[in-house]
Amino acid sequence: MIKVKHLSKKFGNLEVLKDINLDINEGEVVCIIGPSGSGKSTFLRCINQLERPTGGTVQYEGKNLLDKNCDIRKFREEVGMVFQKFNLFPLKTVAQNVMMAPILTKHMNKEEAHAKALELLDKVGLKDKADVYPSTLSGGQQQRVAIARALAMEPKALLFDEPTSALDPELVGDVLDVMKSLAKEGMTMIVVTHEMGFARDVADRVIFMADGYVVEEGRPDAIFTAPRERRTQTFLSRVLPATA
Amino acid sequence: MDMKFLDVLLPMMFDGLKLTILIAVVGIAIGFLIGSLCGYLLQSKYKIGKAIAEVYIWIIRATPLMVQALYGYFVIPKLLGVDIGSTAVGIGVIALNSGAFISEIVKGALMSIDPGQKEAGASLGLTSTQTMIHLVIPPAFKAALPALFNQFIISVKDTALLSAIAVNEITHQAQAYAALSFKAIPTYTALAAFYLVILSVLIIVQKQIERKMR
Repeated sequence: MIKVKHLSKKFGNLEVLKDINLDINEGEVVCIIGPSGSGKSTFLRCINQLERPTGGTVQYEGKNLLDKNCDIRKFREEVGMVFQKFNLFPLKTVAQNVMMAPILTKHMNKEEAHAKALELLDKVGLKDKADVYPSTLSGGQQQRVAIARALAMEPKALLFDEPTSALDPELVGDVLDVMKSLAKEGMTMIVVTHEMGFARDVADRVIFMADGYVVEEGRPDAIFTAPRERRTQTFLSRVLPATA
Repeated sequence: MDMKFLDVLLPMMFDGLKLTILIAVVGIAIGFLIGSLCGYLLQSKYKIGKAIAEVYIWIIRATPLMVQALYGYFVIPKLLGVDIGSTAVGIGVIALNSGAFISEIVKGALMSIDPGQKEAGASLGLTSTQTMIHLVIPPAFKAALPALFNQFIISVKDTALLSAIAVNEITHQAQAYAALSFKAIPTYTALAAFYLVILSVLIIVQKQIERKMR
């Protein structure tokens, strides 16, 4: 579905991504883990061109997104994104946040968009919050609204950029539950995360990144129980609670 | 104290008030358009537009309003070979002057919007124009509103300087009356009181706006 080949990204002289290669298949849940500054988020942002890669290609259904003639908006309509800091629209109500993009990009009428928004808010457990403003919600609730907002575009895949990193620990669970149910429904997901439990339980494949490279990838049980690379072993020994 | 002089002076000042309001409202409306454009350019990546905006703001900020008015009234019409009425010059001076300060307000307001808002819009497939109209301008305008209203108050007071180019606004009317009646103390006391009332009303409105926004 999404094919990344020889992707690189430099900020000035700083090489953040070096020769990343990755194929994402339809219906697959891929979790990207790794230490801070390893380029995980930048990689995700290079996929939907919030950052312009310096080299390589990103193909979506056979088309190169870096091609000058390629309309990146079409890709963004089909592949949504959920941000670490939610980025909800503060002057719009929760329902308006969810309705806006389908109305503007798909010319959906208001009634239809509103009904759809309520349906999605129900799905993330926040139907009763439709008419309040985002600032009145907890972080976990805001992130679930952000997921509903992305789902309103009926995306074929979703990119998650550390969706639970800005949340209080007790709020993480609700967001992960929503993500788990999406995964069960067969949504294609690329998730940059520090939630090792989620990666182990939900991912079809885990990518370990460090220093701008994909160091190791594989099935979660393989990565978590028997990592091959030393860099992966060191990282996992730091983030996983020691088993007694 | 004999208050009879007010029978003549007060109608004159109300006459002047019309012109003061006309110049302030039209001037700052044009100034808002100029300021929005220049403020946008200042925080954009268009180098030439940005440079033009910077030179304009520099000239306005580095010369007194009174000098701008004198220049606009006595010099520009001669250079262009056209006749420009004092009211039109007044509106032009207030527009250019407030525009320069509004540019900075607009620039600051636009820069105060979290880049994450634009990214969220882009990630949903919105065009950059849609993102600007729906996600950047409304919160930026809200953030700028108190400062914009403050600039409006300043511009209303600035119109007094236009008396120097014979614009028949409040101050010019009072000066005319003082010159004819030789009653400087009561006239200028009444003038100060008149401004105090008008500006107090505006200040109360501003406070209301600020309270509503919270």
